[in-house]
Amino acid sequence: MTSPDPISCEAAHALLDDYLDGELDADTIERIESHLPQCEACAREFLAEARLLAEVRARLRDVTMPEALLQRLEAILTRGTNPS
Amino acid sequence: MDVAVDEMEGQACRESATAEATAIEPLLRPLLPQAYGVALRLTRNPADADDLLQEACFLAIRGFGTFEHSASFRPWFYRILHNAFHTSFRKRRREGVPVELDAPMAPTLDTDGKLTPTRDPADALVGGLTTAAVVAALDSLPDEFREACTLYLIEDLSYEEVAHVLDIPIGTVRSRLHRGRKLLQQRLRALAADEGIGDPPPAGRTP
Repeated sequence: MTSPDPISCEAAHALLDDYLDGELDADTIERIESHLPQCEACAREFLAEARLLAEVRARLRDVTMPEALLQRLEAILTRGTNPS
Repeated sequence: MDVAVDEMEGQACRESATAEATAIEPLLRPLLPQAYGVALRLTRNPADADDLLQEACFLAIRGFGTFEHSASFRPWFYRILHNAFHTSFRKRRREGVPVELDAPMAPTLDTDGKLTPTRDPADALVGGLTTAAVVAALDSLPDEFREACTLYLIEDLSYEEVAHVLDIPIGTVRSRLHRGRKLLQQRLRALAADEGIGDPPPAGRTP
């Protein structure tokens, strides 16, 4: 079993968004995840970005659809035609 | 005679629409709450979001016969919603605030190439964010960034699915998401500074 190729802080930072978005291949993920425990600054940066992303997502999803709209859409889905 | 034929055709159309609605309902209904959130952030207006989501549902029911069931339903529906937005709401759209897109955001590296952030802007923001601030920050982005970020952040579509919805290359999606998120963070930091939360935006960067 061999260790993954090391990755620089700069290269890791350039891949931060792709990493958080789950858009990297397994080898690159392994290189980043080998780097983070050895680099406190990168680990802090990645954690902070992950927390901010989660917070922004939660805030943007904090929306309630108006009941009247929901009823109109349910009527559309029942009949396939405009109820109004 | 013609009246009778028209009536029969009308009845056939209604039955067809009802059948399509019945078939699409279990796929579409679970999407509606978040689809409303997407419509709201695209239109930035509750009344327009209502109209857009209703129109998208009609179009999806009418076009459901063209949906390939081996494909994922979510990007198929969101492409309809996005196209309806551009077709019907283009004239009503407000443009985002112009920004300087090349504003640097990368942390500094020391002579050994180690990451040495002078502060932790993301961490300073978390905990002080309000829904209103996040919405205001997203709404202020230029359209191409706002659309990509809305689909990604609210609906959690993959880069490939966002590319399908927006009909752009996946590399363009990546670029818009990365730059859009950096801009979003800048705006959030500026809004937080206005509220006395965290640090103000650094000099030379666009708030």
